[in-house]
Amino acid sequence: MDLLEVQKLCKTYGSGETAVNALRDVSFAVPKGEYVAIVGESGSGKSTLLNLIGALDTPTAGKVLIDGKDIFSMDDRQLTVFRRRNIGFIFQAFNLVPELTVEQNIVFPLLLDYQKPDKKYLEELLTVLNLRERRDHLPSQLSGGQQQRVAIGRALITRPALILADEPTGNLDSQNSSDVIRLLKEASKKYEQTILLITHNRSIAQTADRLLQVTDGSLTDLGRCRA
Amino acid sequence: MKSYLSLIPISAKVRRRQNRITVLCIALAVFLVTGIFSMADMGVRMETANARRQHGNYHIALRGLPEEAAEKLAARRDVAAVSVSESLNTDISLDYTVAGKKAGLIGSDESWLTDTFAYLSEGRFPAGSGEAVLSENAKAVFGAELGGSFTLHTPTGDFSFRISGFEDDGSAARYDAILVCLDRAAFEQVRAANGAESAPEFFVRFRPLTQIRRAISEIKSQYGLEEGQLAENLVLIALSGFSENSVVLGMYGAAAFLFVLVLTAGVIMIAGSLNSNVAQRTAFFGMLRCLGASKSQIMRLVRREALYWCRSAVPSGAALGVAGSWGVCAALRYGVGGMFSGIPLFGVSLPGILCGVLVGLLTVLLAARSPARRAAAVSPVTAVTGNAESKATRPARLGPWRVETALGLRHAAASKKNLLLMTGSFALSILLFLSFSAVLAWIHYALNPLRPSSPDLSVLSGDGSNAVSGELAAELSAMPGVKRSFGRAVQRLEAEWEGGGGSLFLVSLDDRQLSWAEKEGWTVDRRGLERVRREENCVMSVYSEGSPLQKGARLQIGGESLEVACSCAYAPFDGGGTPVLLCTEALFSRLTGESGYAVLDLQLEKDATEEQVAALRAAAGELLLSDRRAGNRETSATYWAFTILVYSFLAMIAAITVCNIVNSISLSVSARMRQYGAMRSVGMSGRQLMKMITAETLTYALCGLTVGLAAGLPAHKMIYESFITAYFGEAWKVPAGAALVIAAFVAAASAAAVYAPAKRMRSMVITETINEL
Repeated sequence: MDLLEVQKLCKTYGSGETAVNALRDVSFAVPKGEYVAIVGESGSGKSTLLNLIGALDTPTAGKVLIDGKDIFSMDDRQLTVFRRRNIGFIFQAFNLVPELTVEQNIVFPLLLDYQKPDKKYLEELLTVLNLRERRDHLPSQLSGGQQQRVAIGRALITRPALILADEPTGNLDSQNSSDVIRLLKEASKKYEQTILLITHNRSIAQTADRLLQVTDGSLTDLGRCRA
Repeated sequence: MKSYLSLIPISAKVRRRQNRITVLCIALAVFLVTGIFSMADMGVRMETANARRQHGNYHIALRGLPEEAAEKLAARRDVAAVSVSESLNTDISLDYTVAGKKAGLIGSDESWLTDTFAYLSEGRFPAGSGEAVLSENAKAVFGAELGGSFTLHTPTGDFSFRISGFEDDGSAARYDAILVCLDRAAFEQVRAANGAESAPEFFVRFRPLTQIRRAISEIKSQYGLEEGQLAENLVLIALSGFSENSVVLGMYGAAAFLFVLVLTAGVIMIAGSLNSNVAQRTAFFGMLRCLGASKSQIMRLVRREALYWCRSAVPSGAALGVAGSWGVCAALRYGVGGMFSGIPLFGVSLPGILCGVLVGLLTVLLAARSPARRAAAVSPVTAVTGNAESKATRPARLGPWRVETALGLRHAAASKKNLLLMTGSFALSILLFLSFSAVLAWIHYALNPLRPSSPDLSVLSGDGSNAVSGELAAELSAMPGVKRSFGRAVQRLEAEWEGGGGSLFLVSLDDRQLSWAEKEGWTVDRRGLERVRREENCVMSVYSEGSPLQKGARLQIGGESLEVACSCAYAPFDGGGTPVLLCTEALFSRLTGESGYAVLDLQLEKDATEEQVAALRAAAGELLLSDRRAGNRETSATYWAFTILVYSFLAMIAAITVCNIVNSISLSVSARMRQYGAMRSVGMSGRQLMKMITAETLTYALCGLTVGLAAGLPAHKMIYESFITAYFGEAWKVPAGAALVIAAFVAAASAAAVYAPAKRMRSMVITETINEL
């Protein structure tokens, strides 16, 4: 069964002569556990697509179904809860809470859900992400790669079905980039998570199960990139 | 773009919303100062006019000089006018009468009655010895009219005059006497016939800009004047700006104090927003430095940017201030009246506007100092690394709180300086509020015409005897126009008490006055008061410090043993240092055998006419009828002026505080917008976000409340004890009402502070905030 189904998604910014069609009639589906890379020029509409799938923004037309649920039919409160339980976000700029330690940042979505973190899983994540030694550090005391690993931890802690990553390696060197991608892939395999990842990096795109290209708001499925 | 400074209007256009509150703060500061100083200016103008009318338009009065001194004085270059007057029997102690009423005599030159004291209300100054000006109340007393005639009875004979005019100095009605103003020749005849001494007084008015102090000492040495020969008209001298200790200095002092206060509050507010403005744009300043801007250029940019806000804020604040002062003047003139009926309505005060503009520019320049330095200190590397976000140095402790609350608390405590400023701002408001509420309580005690027991008219025996009979009292209270009447009998008695004895005043109160004693708060001792009303031998003493007749004391009067059942803070009788005891009418007549009253107070219906008052006056016959209505109006005007002043002051402080907290929270939210966006994207709900902001706001509010009450309650106690307990004996108690008002204010300010960001948050598009640079 498809975990994610995008149907005829449109997004237009502005109106009249200044209207910009960021997305035009985009449709595709992603089965559970698949790792999909989205590529495209700057300004082609990749981030808009990702933001719409994550319900951070509202579409002009079209539907997004996650696990069969139409996310835009939910009200803001339901959507917030849905997002924090089912979607993990990873941003290029990390977006960690500066006042919280590594550990607190990772369990932050659970705390927002008033849940107790699963200690064993947290330890496992910290180990996998190689952050055990740094658990009490603040984001400002970490390198870029470490911060992005914290962000990955935060995205994984709720065991979401879908992980959306918007150029997670954009601010990282090649070593850190490959570490981050490796971690994401391992997680996706281990926990059967679906990953949508935006990247400009060809070699990272090549590691995905499937490649989608966005050009001027239109999507082309480049198909599976490896056997 | 002509220079890098052209960036300012461009960036101002883009950042209009962020700058809006800062501009509002500057405008508010300018508005407050312009308003305050304009009001002070109008107040001084009104006081000058009132003082000229009430105290006379002269600076010094000289006695015991020969007649020709007037000419010599008038010849001085610094003297604008000299007038002369003499008086006879103005203390109404001798047997001068007009139409059966006691009469006082004034003999003066024309300028004294028309210029020095502008008392002439109708007609003209007596032309020749056969004419006289009478006090206004003569119309009511014997139907005097212009052109009519009257006879002045003096101990040595009668003098007849034609009435050329009326004067209104306000004193005649109060003393129930008639004032007769004559020219100097006519006065001389009466004086000589009665063998009174001649004692002319010379009233000197100096020219504007005269160094009054120097002129006075010159005149003193020229005429060899001794202490008592020269009287200064302090009020007018003060209004001319030459007094060292006066109401006017107080008024300017208060305005100056407010100026400093508003300046401080303004600097705090604007510095706060500038600081956060700079902090949010670290990367931008770093970029400018990268592109080659020098430190001094960055400082200039920040300062100019701040001054740019003044362009719209200062004129609008000043205009609002002037309009505000017009509003207050109109309210005082038509709403309060009395002494305010002379306040200028559409006066524009140049000093007020100048002070407002000054405060606007000063606040901005002072406030821009440290942010400008901070902006200049930004390293160019921040632009390269993009690492412009505020860095936390200590992790947040979650403790027992939920994560959103803990983060809110952490945000409040993150900047010690900010927390201190916010706490201080709240605490200052609370401290001032409590201090002023104590002052208001004092005004309530001190200005008694506002009491329900304040009479409009009083019928007095005049000699302190209880000559107002019960029958007359009944007759008067039944007359039309009288709402209610209540009398007091007074007797000086010898008494003995433990450890001493002496004379005291025993004053009777009827049941109505005893019930007011409780309602008006003369005493809080209800049980004691009830005993005074019910028990035969219980009296109430009027509190005076160190008096032996406190609650519980026992004393003997004429063989009867009495007990002081309670003491009260206020009584409608002043013993002038002799102890005063209050008792029921029954006890009074048992002890003294008297049944009349020394004073019968009358309260009139709202629509009582002057004819009805004249009928009352006629019915009172030989007794004095003191008309207190004008005085009551004045006192009530004073009370309202004080109240309006105190409350508008409080309102201003409150406005500044609310603005400050709203601004701070809004800035704090703006600075963290991107962070909030990220939190929203990982699952924080709008409600949780609100809780976080509320927690931050409440931290400031509660800290402020605690510090404010800790400082304000002792201040309230101190003021209360030194103004009220010391004079009226009322013990201090926790001002629960005021505390409730404060709590409500703090809650409202917090709600206002959370409201705007809440609205913004609801419309927040997550993607915009997380992706903005």
